[in-house]
Amino acid sequence: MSVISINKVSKSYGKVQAVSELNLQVNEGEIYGFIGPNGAGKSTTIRMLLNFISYDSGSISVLGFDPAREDIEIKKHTGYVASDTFMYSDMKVSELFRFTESFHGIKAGDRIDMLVKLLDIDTHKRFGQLSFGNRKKVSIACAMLHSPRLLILDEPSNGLDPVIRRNLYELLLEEKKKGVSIFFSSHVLHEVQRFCDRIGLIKDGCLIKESVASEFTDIGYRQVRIEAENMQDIAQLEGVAGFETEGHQCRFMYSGDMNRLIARLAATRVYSIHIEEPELENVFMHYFK
Amino acid sequence: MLFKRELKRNFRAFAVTTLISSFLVIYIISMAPTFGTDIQQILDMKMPKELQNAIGMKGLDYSSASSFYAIAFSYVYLFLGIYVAGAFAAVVSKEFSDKTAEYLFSLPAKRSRIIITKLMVTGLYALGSVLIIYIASLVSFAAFIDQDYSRAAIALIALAWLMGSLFFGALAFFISSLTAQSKSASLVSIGVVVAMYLLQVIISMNGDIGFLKYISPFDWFKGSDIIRYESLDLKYCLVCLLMSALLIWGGIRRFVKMDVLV
Repeated sequence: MSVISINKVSKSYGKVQAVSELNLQVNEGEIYGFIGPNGAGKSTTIRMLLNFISYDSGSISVLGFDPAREDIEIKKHTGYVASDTFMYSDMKVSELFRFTESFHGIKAGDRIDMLVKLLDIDTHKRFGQLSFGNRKKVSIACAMLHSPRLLILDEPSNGLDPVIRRNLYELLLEEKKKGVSIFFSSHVLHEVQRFCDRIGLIKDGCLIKESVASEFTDIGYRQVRIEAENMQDIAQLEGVAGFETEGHQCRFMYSGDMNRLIARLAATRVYSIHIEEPELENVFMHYFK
Repeated sequence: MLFKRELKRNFRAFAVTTLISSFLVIYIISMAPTFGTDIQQILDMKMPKELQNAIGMKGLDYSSASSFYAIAFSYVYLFLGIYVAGAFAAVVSKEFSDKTAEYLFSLPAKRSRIIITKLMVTGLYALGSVLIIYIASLVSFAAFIDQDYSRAAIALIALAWLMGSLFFGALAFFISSLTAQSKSASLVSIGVVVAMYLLQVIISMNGDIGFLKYISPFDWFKGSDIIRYESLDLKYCLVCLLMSALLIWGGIRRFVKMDVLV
């Protein structure tokens, strides 16, 4: 069952087409990574899910509800973390928790205590006194305090230190075990690769690639690193892309015949050779170079 | 919780406006026994008749303390108009300017309900301000004035402030829905209030443009007329209420449909 279903949705700002006939499904209980460069349409898509932005055509369903007409039902069961975190700077963090609780009509004391401990949040400070990373932590806690069924996270780990970032991902994996679905965008591609079940890549408002995370990097290329005496001939081989050298080392993406590469290397002295699946970052660069 | 937060957020402007306006009323009423009818002679010496008319001081019987209250009316009216315009212009646009709209509207409540709650708090403060100034007026009359005075006229003056404030607030709220930038919305709204006041002054000095009085709420309710006739013009009351309702409805509608782009 899909918790998010986006069907042929388009949105433009005047002459700028932000999202174009986008189709995307997020299944119940999965973590879906939504990646793309700045301005690709990630935040616009996320905002349409919560009725912050209206869309021009197509249809959207979130948890079975239409954001344009039933956004309250969606917001009751969804936690949202914005990429830029702005909350009331004059309010103490504890007051912000109470403010958020009041809209959900709950008292989430134990859950808040757990989030505060895990994310290392100082509840006595005013929001305006916090650093960007600490604001992000408060925003994450507010988004999760009502135990939502769906989490929509726009760059959630942005500004977090490595320990808190690890804690956050552990928390997300725990939530996933409870059946929570997570839709998140990130620029930290290795984290997307590590934690997501499926990944969608958006470019110019269109989904250009989508697959399970383990297959996402299969773009017909292998990532090759070689340390050898003479590497000049290698760059000329058919199927070599993104060739870079540094001293006796070189790295490139290779889509040609592996036997021809090995035959070419046989002519020179080779110190080491690594042939691997490309990382998500390389895939990203492959589409956006 | 939203209601409580809005109460806290708007308190300072309310307190300052109410205090200043109340002191102004008390001060002007306290002058009545001292100056009495002498004020007319002073006015005639210092001020042309057109200007007296423009600021609502012409044609008043200064042997009555109520006439001094009519003078206070226009200043408090202007002051309340400026306060209310600034407050209503910021009701929702401040959430957009401070970029907190995305957080607020991510919470499970209808946008219209959030906006109406915020409007209600601002409206309650405007009402509270008028009530306190009204009470200050009654107390001042009781304390400083020995002669008879019309309590009905004092109540009608307060009602006129309230209706004028309602209109200025509604207008400012609608203007803010056109820009969603708190600072510019407040500046434009306050500018419009001051421009309407100046328009009323100009109309009073130049009878040829008297038809323009229909667009200035400062002409809809005049202290001198309320004191003299002990009534409000029903036609302007209806226009004021109808226009206010339309402007608030239009503003809410625009904000509900507005894209939240942070």
